[in-house]
Amino acid sequence: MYLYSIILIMLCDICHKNDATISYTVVVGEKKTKLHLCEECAAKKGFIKAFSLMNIQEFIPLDPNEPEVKNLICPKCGLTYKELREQAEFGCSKCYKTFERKIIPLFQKIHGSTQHIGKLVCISAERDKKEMKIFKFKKRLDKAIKSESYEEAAIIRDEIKKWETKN
Amino acid sequence: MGNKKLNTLLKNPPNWIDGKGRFAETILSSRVRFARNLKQFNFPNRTKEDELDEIMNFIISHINYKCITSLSEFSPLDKKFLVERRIISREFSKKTKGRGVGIWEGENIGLMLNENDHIRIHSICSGLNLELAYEKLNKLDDEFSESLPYAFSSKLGYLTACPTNTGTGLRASVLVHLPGLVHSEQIKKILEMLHKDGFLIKGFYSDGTMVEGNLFQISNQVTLGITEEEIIDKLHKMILQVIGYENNARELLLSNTRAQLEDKIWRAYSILKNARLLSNEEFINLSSAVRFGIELGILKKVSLQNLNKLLIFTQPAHLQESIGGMIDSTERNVKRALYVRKNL
Ligand SMILES: [Zn+2]
Ligand SMILES: [Zn+2]
Repeated sequence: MYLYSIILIMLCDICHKNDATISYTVVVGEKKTKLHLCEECAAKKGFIKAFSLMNIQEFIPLDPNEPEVKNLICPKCGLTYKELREQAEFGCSKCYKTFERKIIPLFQKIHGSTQHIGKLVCISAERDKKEMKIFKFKKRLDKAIKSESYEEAAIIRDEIKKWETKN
Repeated sequence: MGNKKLNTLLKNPPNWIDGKGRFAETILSSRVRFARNLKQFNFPNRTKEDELDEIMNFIISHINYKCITSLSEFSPLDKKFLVERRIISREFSKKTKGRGVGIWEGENIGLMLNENDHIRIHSICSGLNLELAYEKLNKLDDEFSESLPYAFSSKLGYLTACPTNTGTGLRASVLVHLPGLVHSEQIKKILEMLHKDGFLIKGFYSDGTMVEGNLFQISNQVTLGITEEEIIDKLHKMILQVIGYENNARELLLSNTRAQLEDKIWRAYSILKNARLLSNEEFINLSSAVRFGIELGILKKVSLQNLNKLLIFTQPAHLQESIGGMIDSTERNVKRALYVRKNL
């Protein structure tokens, strides 16, 4: 009986399937991260990068044949696409626009979505509200159709039309 | 030694661990935080130190909240104290210039300037009370957004340095005591369930492999494509489910192994009551058994409030701040044992 503390049998940080049997302490700059890997994944990977970075790099594709990727650089903060992959952090709000096309799959992977439906900022709230309302209605419409609530679906469709024609 | 601003913190435990609120024995606290950035400035990771000051001054001059202290005013020990107090993050405590700290409402509300994002605001409540914590946080955020030009896009929401925070920028977490599940060796199953449902769970006192004191922090993982209310509601419901499992595990343990359980609890209490040397780790683990005793109604003479206070004030930097200087670990263990004997 463990009364006070336990040893967690952890799943592999990479495949999330096998039990982790090997652990590594990875040092990146000042950051120390512990990695827990199964033997299979440990064999496949080198351990130079911390787990979170490694993961995110896999999500942001780097295709060297695409010439535009090489030259992608944020006009505001100067972050390059290569740096974004390495540090897995944006340098400013403009980065989101700069790398937009490349990072959308990343958000899909992390959050399962690419559209904000939460709180709005005061400024420009009206315009944003329209896009978001429509998005939310569409989500509800999908649900209604899936659950075969056709009457509800019809009502939602009308709502969407109303919002779409609004200026 | 020690910054004068910490004097009141040294006298009183924080409000968020006062032992009140729903399920306060099992759920120590509910915490929510927003990550926010300003449109016109580069994020802290891409800003030089002197420009960080400029960002800080901009924020301070645009909001109505005073009493924001520069991190450079705090000594290394002070900063460790603030980490133990859950006001600043460990990463943040290693920084010096161009960073700010704000503490309000008896520590229910806190602020970090130029951490990973320009602004990190948090709100903590005692027990299970994510709604109230969120209400307070949201109000503060509304106030800020009226005078600060937040970095925001209608597609991706609040723009943050790390893509894992993009969208709502909201992280909600609950600190929960799960001795029943650990005891009955069901915890792994629960961890997997939480993981599968998109929640993060980690030991509160943990080096990654061992979890001390049966305290776990459960939080949301997804921040985009979900509303703030949904995040709060989902986590709340998940916590109720976890508590249900925990209670079942406890009932089973009580009916099968009552004598062993009572023995462990009373022994833990006796050690705390009599020890002359107590390491931080030992205290955390024994205090879990005592908490379990309180929860099960076995230990009636210890109050939850008192135990929570001990959990805060026996931490290494707390012990050292209270005597006004650095001491080595043996001396700390003596002080800790003395403090516990006196106050339990
Ligand atoms: Zn693996
Ligand atoms: Zn940029």
